[in-house]
Amino acid sequence: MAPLSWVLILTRLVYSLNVDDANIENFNDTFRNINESLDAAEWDKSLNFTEFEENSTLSVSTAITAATEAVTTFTNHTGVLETTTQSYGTANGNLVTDSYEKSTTMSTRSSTSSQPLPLSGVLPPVIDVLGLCPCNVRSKQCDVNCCCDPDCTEELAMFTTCLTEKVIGDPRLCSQVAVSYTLRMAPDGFSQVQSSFSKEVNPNVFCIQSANYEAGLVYATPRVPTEGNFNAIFDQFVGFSFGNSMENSVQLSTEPGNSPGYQYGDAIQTEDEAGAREFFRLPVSAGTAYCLDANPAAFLQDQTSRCMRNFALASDCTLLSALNLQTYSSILLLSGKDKDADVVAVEVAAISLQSLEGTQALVDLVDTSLYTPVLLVPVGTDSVVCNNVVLQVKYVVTYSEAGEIVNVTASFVLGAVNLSMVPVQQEFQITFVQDAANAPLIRFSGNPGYIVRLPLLAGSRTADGIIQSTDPKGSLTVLQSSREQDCLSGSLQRSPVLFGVDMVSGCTLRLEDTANCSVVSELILRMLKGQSFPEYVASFGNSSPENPLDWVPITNKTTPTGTQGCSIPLSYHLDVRWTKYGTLDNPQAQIVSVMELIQTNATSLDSLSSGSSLLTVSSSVSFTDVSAPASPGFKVSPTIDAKLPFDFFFPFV
Amino acid sequence: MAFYEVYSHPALIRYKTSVCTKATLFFVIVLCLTYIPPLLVAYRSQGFWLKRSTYEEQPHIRFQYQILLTGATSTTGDYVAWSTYHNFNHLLGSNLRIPSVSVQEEDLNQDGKFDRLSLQLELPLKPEEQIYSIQLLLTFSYQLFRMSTVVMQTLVYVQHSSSVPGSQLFVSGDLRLYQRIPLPHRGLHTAYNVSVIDGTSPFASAYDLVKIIQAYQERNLTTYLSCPSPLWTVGRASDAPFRINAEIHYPLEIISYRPGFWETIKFAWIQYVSVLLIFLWVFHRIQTFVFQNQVLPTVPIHQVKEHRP
Repeated sequence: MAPLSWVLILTRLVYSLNVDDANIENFNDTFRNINESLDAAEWDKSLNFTEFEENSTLSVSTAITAATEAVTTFTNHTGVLETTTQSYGTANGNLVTDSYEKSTTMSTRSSTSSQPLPLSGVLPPVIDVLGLCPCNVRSKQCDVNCCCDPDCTEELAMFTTCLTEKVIGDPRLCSQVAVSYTLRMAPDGFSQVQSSFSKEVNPNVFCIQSANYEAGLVYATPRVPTEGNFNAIFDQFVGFSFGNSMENSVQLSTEPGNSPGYQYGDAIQTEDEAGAREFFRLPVSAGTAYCLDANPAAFLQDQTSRCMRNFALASDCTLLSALNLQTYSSILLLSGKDKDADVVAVEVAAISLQSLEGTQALVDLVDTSLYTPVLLVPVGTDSVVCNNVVLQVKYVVTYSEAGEIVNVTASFVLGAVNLSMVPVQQEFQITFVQDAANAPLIRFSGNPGYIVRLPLLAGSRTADGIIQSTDPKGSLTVLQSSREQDCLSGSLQRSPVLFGVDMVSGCTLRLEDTANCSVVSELILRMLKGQSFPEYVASFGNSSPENPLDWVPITNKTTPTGTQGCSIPLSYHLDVRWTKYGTLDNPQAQIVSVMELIQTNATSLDSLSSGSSLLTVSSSVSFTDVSAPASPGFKVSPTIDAKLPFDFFFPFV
Repeated sequence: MAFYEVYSHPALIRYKTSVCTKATLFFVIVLCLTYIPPLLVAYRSQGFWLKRSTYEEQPHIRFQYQILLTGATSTTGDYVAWSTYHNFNHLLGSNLRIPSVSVQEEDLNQDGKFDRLSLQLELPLKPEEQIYSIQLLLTFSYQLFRMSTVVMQTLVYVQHSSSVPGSQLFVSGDLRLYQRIPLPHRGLHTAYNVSVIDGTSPFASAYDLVKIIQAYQERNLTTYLSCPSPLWTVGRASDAPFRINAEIHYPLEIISYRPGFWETIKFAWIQYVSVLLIFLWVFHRIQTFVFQNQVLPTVPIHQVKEHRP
């Protein structure tokens, strides 16, 4: 029985759809005939709204009713009319045109004319699609290509397309009222606007046949904001906006926390001569390489920043405060966040002067005010030099257990800068040291196993044990590629060997420099190995120097010299083998062997360079994991070894 | 007078045997062969357990009205910058250049979800300045509701540089979601509902693009602007501002997720039963042959209608 009823329903649906389609066709045909038979007198009689045009206080609802009446009138004339088609051209003599224009004027005015707001503050909604013409934005003037604009008469000749082609009602209804405007070429060559008022059929099975709940078709009447409920309405509807993000700026806080001192990450405060509070500035770069001078320094956050500063050498040398030592030394820091915090002055610990060539010399501290930037203009040359420019500032802040700043020292590097060195790079460093920490700080590189990207611990052996350098960057270093690229006269910059980080760098050697072979060989080897090459490397990140057994010797392997007596090291490779130690879930890295491989030339240097008179010398570090694979987690293998795949019972286990 | 079949029905024959017989053994073997091999066939042909599935949803995206802009104004690297963060603007000092920005978010299909963001930005420039490169960072609030509820804050980074100074950059693209691992099928996810840029921080490191992007790319869910063709308009009058015109569409997104227990079971069941049906048919025929022809001795009992005495 059920299938049969379904078939019946479907048949009814198809039938009704077909009927609706057919109706549309019929309407168009019918109206074309009626249109011709209607005379102007009847139009004027039925659409007698001309006096409304002058009435500026006309309410919209009246207009809608009027428009509906107009349609009703059509129905009276035709009986079955649901579609009306009307053409109006540019010819003025046509009576039909005139009358139609009037009706269109009425329906569109209702939506566009400026109505005084009713007392309730709410306009009744425009339900009739005849009243909508979104492209009509100019009052009492024709909007070009706006086919529904009633002001357009003669201008129709200029139209090429219709901006608003169709105004349609609620798409959920089974039959929607739609007004469509099309532009058509009249037989006399002029453009004609043809507007058709039709009912569109919605093919959806679940369309709304008739909506008797009026409020379901329009938006709810909004609450009118008053002084009393404004905040509530604002909070309900406010989302993201430009204003919101503006207000979250951090103010200097003098609120006492749970301690008189600073906490980790607090911005350190200063006091100027006038007693006003400011932040302690540590220039850094962000986004670009330029220095951002206003960046505050955070308490207990050690940081090193390098940033660039661009300036006109001759004019800015003495004037730019960022180049002046006084800017960084005459600061009065506040020991805590409290109102009654002590003032701590920055103490200049050391000043180094750097020459144009880059050599540095420590000076005696007599008066720091002597070291302000000076412009030197050598006679007879174009080159100007600005002396005593701040190139490096290192602050060391000593703090107490309570988080109060006890002492601040600063050491400076002041340099001579010429035109080729602008823009200069400035380096700022701040480190925090706890007060009363007498023992020299030894940094571990792991506890116990090495941590990736921390320097290898190295030292040399004496009778008492291992002597370890306290350099925080580590004592095992490799060559860093320099600007000169020359192995013999390159810079002394070296980069530390970090655990787990493979590295390569190099320099070049000119053949004409290799005349004194043994000296050159010595120089290059020292260049590759560094000044103080350690003999032992700690096998754990926290190996104690007192226990030499925890240290692994660096073994040397030099490839045999070739036939020639002269042997120059061409590559230096440090091979570090490490293994995982301890439990499976928390393995610790342990270094088991360190080997340096030095490869010297096997043939003559001339044949190696192949005519280019340049030899490359490379230095590299590699880390190799030599861990044995972990044994299975059980001692006796289970007797039944089921071969089901691992995800056979996937959602259950 | 021809006969025709007016009705038919199968007749039931029962084959009986005791427990320890060949027939019992045969029956047990057939039972195992019928039900276990389909499971193996379905599993070995891959895709038995559904591990990743997708659904479609238009995310609920709101522009957070937070912008960070950097522009290079000379070939030697001078720059101007601006952001909606007061602290960053304070850090910039003399390099701060405040543009005029206009933003519209549009809901084109009236479904309550925004579909497009139009952003116009005019950066005023001095006559001696030219724009060679632009870095623009916008933040968005991104919400998904259909399977698991995801609430997060994301960003869009637009970068363009040219060796020729320009007057306008036009970008039009889609805000797309990038997933590293699929989402779970239910639950609330607010792990990424934190500011991409910490506007409350007074430190410059909070506004460093490298740090922002580095932290952002660590996330499982990120968004990016899929803009195949940014347009750089060459040439600029000396008093004209530099314009950025961005149209960002919020399209339907295909989101992958891990199906839940019942969805996994449902798809496995479909695969298993479809293979099982073939095995059932084949072994039914075999059993019928074996018992009908008495290959294994059993006692057939025909169904006889019992008359009442």
